[in-house]
Amino acid sequence: MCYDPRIYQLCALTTLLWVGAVSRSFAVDVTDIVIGSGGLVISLIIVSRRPARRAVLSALISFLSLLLLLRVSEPWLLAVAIFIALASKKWLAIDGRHIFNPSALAIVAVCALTPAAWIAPGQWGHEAFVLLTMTVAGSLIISRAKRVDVSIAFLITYAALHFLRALYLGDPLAIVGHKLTNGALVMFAFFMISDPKTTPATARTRVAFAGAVAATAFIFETRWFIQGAPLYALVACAPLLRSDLFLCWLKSPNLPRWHPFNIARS
Amino acid sequence: MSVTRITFCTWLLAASFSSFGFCGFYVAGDDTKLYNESSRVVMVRDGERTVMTMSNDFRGDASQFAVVIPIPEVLERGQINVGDGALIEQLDAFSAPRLVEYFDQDPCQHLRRYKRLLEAPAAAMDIMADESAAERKALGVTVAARHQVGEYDIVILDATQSEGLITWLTSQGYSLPPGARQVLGSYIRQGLKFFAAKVNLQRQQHLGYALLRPLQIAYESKRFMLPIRLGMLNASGEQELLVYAISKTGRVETSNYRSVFMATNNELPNYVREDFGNFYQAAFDKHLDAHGRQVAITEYAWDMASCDPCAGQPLSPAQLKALGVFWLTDNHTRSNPTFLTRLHLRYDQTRFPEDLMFTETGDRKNFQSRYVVRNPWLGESQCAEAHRYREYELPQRREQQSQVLANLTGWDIQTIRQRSGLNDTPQKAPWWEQLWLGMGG
Repeated sequence: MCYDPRIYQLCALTTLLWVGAVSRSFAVDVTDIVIGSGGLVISLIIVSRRPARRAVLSALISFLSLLLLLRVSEPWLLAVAIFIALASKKWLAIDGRHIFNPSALAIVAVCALTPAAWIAPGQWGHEAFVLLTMTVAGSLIISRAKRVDVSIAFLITYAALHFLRALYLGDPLAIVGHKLTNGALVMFAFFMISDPKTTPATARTRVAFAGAVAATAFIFETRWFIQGAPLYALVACAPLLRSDLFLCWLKSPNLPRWHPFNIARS
Repeated sequence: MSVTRITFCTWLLAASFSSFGFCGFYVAGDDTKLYNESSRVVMVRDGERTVMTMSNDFRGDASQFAVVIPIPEVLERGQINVGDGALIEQLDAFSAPRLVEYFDQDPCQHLRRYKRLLEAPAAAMDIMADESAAERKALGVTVAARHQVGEYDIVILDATQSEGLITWLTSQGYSLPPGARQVLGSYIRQGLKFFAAKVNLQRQQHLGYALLRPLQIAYESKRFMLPIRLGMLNASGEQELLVYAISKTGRVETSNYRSVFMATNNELPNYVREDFGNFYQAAFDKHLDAHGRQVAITEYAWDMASCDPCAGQPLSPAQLKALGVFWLTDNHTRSNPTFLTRLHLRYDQTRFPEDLMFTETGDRKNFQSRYVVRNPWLGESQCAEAHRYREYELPQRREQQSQVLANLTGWDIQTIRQRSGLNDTPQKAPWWEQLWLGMGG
């Protein structure tokens, strides 16, 4: 039980929430947490009448991720977001495997639905203390979950693209450094994209997937100036995870459902 | 050749607390060093539409004034306007940190009377001489449009290389600071155009405006951004920037730097009333320190349909339209929501290497930097409550206020205590003092 990476993730996210509330002055107040928790319980009951311990832990992780990354002016939107996250886990799945990263999908969906919800990429700032906390906690989790390659590949690709852009524009490296030390980006790399349920099974495909997300985020950010571009990129790249089905459909309906992008069943 | 001093906005930047300042920075053509250390910009944004008003408090010789602003598109004549500087002053006073004053009641009368006073904070060309088209082409600079707007002569430049743009600008009498090439090159490669304006002295004289009026531009862009990089090139130390962002949806915050709220609703010693400007400057600086000086501080966020208390005259719908609130279709601000956010930044190249990016949030919670002074009751009533009030409550309150002031500003607590009239450490009232009060014992 102690080796369940979910426990570590839960502890890390709680610590980050505390750090955020205390030192980053997040707009997360008791009402948000109470109403969001209500939404969490109701959503769990709706989605799975008698949720297993694993499902409860997973739902709690999604809820904490939402509290950390999604800003709302109406607390009930958190309840809606957690419902979307849990519903996507249950119903937007093929062969029991999630199509979308549940938290990312919920954040993107709620932000698209109403201006009362938004992503605040600047909320974590660029301070070393917060980055260090995130990196240490995040490293622990991704090493437990065996998803170090995803986070590293994402960060390296993202950094390389911004470095190349800076070279092209003639911008100082301080600008690249500033982008890479954004707390929200580090948080995404360690706590969002590394979700074992929505990453491919093999190391090579995981690296390819992380690279695709980073490249998409880079384009979203520099061409369309989308706030929270990595989250949108993660949702946009989700179909890659199930490209096996697409390939099967293209070739022949009788082909086995096998593809290197197959997701781990963990 | 007369030397022209130039201001570079990065598509925005603006005025100042100090003697002059417009859109970022000035470039002294001769050895004179001019510094633009603060700016004021009104940004009205909805969807991809932005109207930007750049405050201009330039106090020097108008012939020495020029500005270059990176812009996202070539602007038509109708997209450029000269605004009214008084409106920015009014918006500034309206959203400024405020001091509220209360009066204690007579403890013996149990009557409450109060009065509120407000104190606004202390802080409260012949353009481009004609040159041959062939020469411009060789430099990779195209004059996309020329406009005469109010006292300004404006050209919109489209450049393909920074070297050519610099050569062209230099040939027009502009003198650029070191580092301009790199920043201009970056903007050119990002596909931005340049808006260059100089004052037409004849028209200025004809129009009769002694001070230069703010320039306004309207454009469409996915980027909700305020370029600050050019403005930092010749800045000495930190620059002050006030952004008044008006949106439909709610509060505006910076998306690539952290936004934090200013301390508010603190009760301060009475003497701060006479020294509010200094207090606020110190408190602002300390607040910046507490957050690593790499933040935008929100000083005001409020629906413009109301204010409580109003630190200045609210802007009428017509005035808001003049500032560029384009969605106001009738005279009712309630049916046409306008939400004002006042962001205060102090930036330098080290902590703010990137241009400022903003995001409109759905947060419509009202916020204001508000401080309170409470005047003691000075009557002569005699009763147990009055005794307690004079002997214990008042000194304790003063001590508390002194500590709050020391925490907010970093000022020396002993000096504050002295100025607050506290000589000794205040004593707490004995716990039993009011135990049988009023029981006739």
